[in-house]
Amino acid sequence: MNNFLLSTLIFLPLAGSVMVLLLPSTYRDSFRWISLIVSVINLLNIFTLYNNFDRQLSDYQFVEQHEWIRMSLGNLGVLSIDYFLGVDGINMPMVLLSGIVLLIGSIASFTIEYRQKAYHSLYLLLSGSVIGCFAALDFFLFFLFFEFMLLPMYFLIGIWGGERREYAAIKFFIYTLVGSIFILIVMIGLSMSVQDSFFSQEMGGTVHTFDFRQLTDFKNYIPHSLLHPIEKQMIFGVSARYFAFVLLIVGFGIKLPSVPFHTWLPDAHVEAPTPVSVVLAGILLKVGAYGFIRIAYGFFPDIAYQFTYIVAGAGVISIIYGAYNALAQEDLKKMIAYSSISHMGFVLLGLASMTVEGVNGAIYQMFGHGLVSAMLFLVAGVIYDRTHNRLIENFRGLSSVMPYFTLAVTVAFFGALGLPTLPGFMGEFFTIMGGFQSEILPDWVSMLAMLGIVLSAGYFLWTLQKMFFGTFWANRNQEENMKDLDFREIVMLYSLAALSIIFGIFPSLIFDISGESVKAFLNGF
Amino acid sequence: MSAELVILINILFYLFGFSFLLYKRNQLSEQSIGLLSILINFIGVLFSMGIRLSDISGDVISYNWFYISDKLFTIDILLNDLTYLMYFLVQFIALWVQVFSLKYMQGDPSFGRYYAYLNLFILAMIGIVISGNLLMIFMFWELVGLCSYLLVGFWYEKKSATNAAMKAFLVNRIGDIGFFIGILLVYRYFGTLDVTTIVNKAQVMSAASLNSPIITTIGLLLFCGCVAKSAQLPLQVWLPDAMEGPTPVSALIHAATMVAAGIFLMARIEPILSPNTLLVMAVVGMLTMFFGACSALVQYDIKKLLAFSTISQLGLMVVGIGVGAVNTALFHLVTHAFFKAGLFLSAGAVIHHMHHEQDMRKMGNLRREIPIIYYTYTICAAALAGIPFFSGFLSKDAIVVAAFEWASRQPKQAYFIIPAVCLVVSGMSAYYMMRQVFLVFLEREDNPLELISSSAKSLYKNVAKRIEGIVNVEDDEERQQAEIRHAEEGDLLDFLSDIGPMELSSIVMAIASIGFVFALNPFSAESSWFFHTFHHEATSYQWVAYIAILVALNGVLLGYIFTKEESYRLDNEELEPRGMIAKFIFKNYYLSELYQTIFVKPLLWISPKINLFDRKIIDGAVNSVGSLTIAWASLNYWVERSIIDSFVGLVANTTAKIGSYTRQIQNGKAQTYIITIFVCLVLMMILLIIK
Repeated sequence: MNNFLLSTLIFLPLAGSVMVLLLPSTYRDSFRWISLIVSVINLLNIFTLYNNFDRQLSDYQFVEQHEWIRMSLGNLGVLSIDYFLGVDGINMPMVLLSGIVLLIGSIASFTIEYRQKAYHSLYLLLSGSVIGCFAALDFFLFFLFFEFMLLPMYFLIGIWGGERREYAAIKFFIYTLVGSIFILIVMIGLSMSVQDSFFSQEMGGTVHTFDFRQLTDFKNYIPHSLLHPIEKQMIFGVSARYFAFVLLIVGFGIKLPSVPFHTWLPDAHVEAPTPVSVVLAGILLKVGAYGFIRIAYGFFPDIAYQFTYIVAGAGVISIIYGAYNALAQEDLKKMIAYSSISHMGFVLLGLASMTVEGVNGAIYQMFGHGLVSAMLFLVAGVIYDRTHNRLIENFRGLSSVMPYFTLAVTVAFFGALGLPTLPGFMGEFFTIMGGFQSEILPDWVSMLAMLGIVLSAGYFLWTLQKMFFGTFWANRNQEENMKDLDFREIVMLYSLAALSIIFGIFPSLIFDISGESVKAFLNGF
Repeated sequence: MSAELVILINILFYLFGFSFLLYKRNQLSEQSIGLLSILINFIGVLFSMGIRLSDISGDVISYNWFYISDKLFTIDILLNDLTYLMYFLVQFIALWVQVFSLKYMQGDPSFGRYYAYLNLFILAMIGIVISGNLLMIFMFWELVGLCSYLLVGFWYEKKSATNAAMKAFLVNRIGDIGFFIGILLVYRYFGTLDVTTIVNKAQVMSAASLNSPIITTIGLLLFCGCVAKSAQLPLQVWLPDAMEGPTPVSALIHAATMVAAGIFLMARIEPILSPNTLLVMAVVGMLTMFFGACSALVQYDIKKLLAFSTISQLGLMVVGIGVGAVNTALFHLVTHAFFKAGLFLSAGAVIHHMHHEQDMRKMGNLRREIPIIYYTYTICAAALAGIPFFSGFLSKDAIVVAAFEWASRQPKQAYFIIPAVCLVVSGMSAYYMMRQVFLVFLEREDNPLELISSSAKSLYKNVAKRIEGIVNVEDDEERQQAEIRHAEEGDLLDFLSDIGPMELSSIVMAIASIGFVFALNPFSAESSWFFHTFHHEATSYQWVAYIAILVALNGVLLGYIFTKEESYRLDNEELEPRGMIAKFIFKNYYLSELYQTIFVKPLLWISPKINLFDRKIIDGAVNSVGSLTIAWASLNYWVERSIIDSFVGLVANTTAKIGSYTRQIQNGKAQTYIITIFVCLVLMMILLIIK
């Protein structure tokens, strides 16, 4: 069974998607249940995966490798694409996160009334592709899933979104597509430069591969190939590997998003319906970060060293710039969107430090931010559902009428601003510690990042104060709509809050998983 | 059971108390909430008295917490005398604060929430106390900050309260950034965060390496945390505002325990503080002490005055650490915790009695109305003022003496300014405490000496009468006996019925502020039990203490005289004192306003600009790339339509024209064909000939 576990995670949602599509519309009430049940089963499977994950190993586990496409390229040799899945310490936390957030998202989707069939079909398609993207260990397969996430996302924003949904959806789609093209270029370049040493001997010719394991190994590079790490091929006097790395930085930087490639995010978030925002912030941003670690840093460690300043700089600028922008927002959801940019900056900083503390911290930050940002967007959704309004200044003193909601908001906000025992803290602490431990980065870079911590406390507390404290008032006679959480919302927010506290107090739940793999990962540098 | 297990179980109790009370806060009655919470706390106090040291030098118990790759981070519980002392102190004061709150918070709709927060606070505070590594200390440090935030902003419908809470949290965050960087530097330099290891390493360091810039930097950065938490200059701005919280909270958090955490931290890591760091600390402490005391002189708000005096006293403790008298500073921490908690609790009772009026000018003559509080307040105030026979005298003067000792060892005479300021501040504190007692409790014309003597007389009479009554029981007639007994019982009942939870707590704190509790010889700090446990730095400047007594008494006298004069021209309408300097001092040197102007306002000014930049420039660039693409596409389309397509059209048209022209040739007439053939033959022949 274990051998098919990862495939099950991907194909169960896809099957669910097809099933929803095939069922007649008279069954419309069952669609949400299908997507919920699929998400629950997936999460249970992921728990099995998590429990059976061997924490002592740094290598890929639960590997499934099947030959998929073998294509002759004439003189160039043979192109080999595998259906290759597996998890190690770097993507295991992400798979776990996906399971959690997708389940929460499917509960949040219960409020969707418009065109349920299409919605749930797309949502399940998205679920499958997201997990596929994290679990894929073949660059081609990864890219396939990476692209496949765009399609449902485009429709989910474009059809079920807010007023400017078409603009936001198009912007999101095109922006991400540009990034994908950059990644595609590098992918082709890499596969042309790398051969599968074993099969090449076996078949007596060059076998180009997309296998992650082959791509990380410098020995597999074909002599005189474009991206060969030692015999540098120059383009305009600069090593081709530089170009490849820059393309990857931009490609994944868009997805992350890192300043200055971030402007699609506030628009997409503001227009997306709540469950889609949750998934977008909770998981999709992490795909960018994951790509950064696994592909940009994993395949180009030699270049990554020289780009430490740039990556760390992008991280720190994202942290501070995002925080300043968040401070200026009047729209709650936009504020949260900019805070996401700020918090994802820590991932870049931790990664750029290339220390065990920093990289583990970055992975933890990805996980922690996934939980917290999901909560934050649910919070924004709770208010929007009741009033169709998100402006901070339209609400005051909500805590006196919505005590349960206020408690959840407090946990979410303090989780995001980095209070110890909640997940934001460990991520920030260890990414900054990584920055300090790093031999390359000067200390002031990490110190600047701390400015972001102060600012984030500022905007979250300020929002808390403006919206939740004081005497109760809501603009446009919305007072009677401000009811406290219903059962469904309590389940979502409080289970995330409980998980946040558990992972905040026991960071070993993540660090144990990631530790060995990160160590092995950094040995490559 | 081992000590660490006891403590862990204790912490679990508080965790249970917090979550249970928070969950059931609306279902349970006030009595059951209060009783449950007090019971938990009482068990904690019993635990703290029950545990014994296994080893005098202290134990560290480590549990594995998590690994980061190969690097182990542990949960360390450091058990030494300091731990036990603080462990007891925090819970003991918290217990009485909780008892006090039963009455003070009675009828508050959020009674349960209040007690839940208190439980969380005690948990976090114990956490700081027992933590054996800097990461854990930092975590609990932030958690007490959270509790402070929640409790200062407890009445969240009051805007001033939530503002104060936010200010407290943010100011502390700024200090914590320094603390954070300090921790990271410790980790880099020492390779561990374990306090014991760090301290041991520092103790074997040579003087030169201890004086190195890196160690000094580490010390100063860690001190940043203390500056914010313990309200030192220039980050003391949050503490006066934090008085917006319920008064028992001010007693527990903002007077006795949390604000002392900074001092505690400094005491824990004292060996790694380099001489330069210590000097900086002494100077910062001195300035804080002086400016805090100045502000306290001019306050009219009963709680604000106490807050400024807390700032001043914390400054004194920092001076104590700065001059190397760590244990003396800790001694003052302990005595201060009791008498300041007593003062705040008594002030809370006053405020409660005055129906939440805090302006001292509207008080007066409360001696008659709440006599018990009057006594407790006076005792605690005397302790703060440094009057002999009270605890403050012992600890405060010990610091002054230590400062003198320290200054005499320094190369320059200028260092004597620190003990001198200590003395001055000691006089000032006597002054403002006298002023407060006068304004709140005495009739404006009363002479306190007469009052004290008369009340002592009446007390004596009462006691004598009672003893007489008891002695004379057998001699008198039965009817008389019954009458007397009846009257006595009535008196006793009256007296006892006066003692509610609030009075009881105040009395306990007042008793704990009496010098005999700490030392049988009330003139010698060295004979106290405290210095039997904690090593005391020997001194040869005992005479300084006597000067300090004179200064304190002088302060009381001046306070009496000036306040009496002041009391005639008190104007309730005026919120702020007259005069530039007084106003300047009253407003805490306009520091808050200054920070508002130079930090907050620019931040709020620039962030919309940055957002505008983001929207217009960065997003504008993205959008203009989009628009340009569309424009380029339109251009392409135009080219397509008007050039390429028209060229194609031209070709087509030409072809069509040629076709229509040639079509005329094929008209089906034999003559035309013959002529055509003929012409073609001729043309071909011509061509052949030419070739």
